[in-house]
Amino acid sequence: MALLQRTFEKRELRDPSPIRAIFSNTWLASLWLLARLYLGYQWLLAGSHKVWGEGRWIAVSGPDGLSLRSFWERAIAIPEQGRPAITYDWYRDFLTSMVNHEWYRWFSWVIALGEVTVGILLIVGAFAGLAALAGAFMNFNFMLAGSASINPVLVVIALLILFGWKTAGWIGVDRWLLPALGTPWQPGPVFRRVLKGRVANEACPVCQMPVDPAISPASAYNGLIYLSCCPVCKERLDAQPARYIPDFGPAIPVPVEG
Amino acid sequence: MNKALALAAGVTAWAAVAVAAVLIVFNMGGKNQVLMFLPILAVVVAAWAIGELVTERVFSGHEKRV
Repeated sequence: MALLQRTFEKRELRDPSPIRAIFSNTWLASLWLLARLYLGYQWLLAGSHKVWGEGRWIAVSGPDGLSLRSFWERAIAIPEQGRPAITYDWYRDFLTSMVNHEWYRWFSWVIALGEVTVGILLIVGAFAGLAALAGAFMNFNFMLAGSASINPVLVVIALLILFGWKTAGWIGVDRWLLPALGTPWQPGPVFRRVLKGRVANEACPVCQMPVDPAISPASAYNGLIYLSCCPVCKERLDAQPARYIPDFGPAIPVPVEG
Repeated sequence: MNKALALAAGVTAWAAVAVAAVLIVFNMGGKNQVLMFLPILAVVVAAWAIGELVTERVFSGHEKRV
């Protein structure tokens, strides 16, 4: 039991300073910019061939996606001699199913516009991490379908940008976008609520855990706002406020959220 | 008003980067990758300069990252 406790107890292993300098410090933002521009440029170029020109995949005379169907059919074919392009049977079954359902008609739009979108987002540095993730996912699928090309190089650059998501878009839109929107675990000013009233506590009245005025559940008593650390504690506080608030008097409702 | 103008300048600058990148890549068709890369880098640097000189000056101090 002690062994399990020791193994799984909560410990935070901090990154060494060189790793933090590369992935979390803005001093290397110019290098991330070059990586981002190269990757974005490659995606925009690949997407431009699919939405523009004679060999485009979409908006052609006749059904869309015939080029994609040819690519899928070549990928799922099993040659009499040599190795097939696709190694994993489940992926071959997946592509075969898409061919049989004629999904290439709309999927060609998804790929073509997806490549252009990822390219633009990487170049302007908007949601650079998510764009790199989407690009890596497309690279991953192309490689699973047996198309190597420059995909291995692109996926490595995309993964590096993904690890450096906080600073990859520093010379770009993310410099303002990320602080404004925040993250799911720390909302930015766009999503941060404004409390109308004075907050009375810095720690949860029920369990003494720290509270955050931006996201912690709020209750109002005696003209003051009391923040709980979680919905469970808020429920307990609301059920028995006199137990957790020492100078609890008659409840006076005040507006909580603005 | 200052904030609205600064924000508009930043948004316009980066929207121009997106438009310029699409026009450059779609019109030059990948014939010379270096010649296509350099103008994209140039418009990005221009947008960054506008962001630093206009937008960041008005909105500075809105965050702490490091």
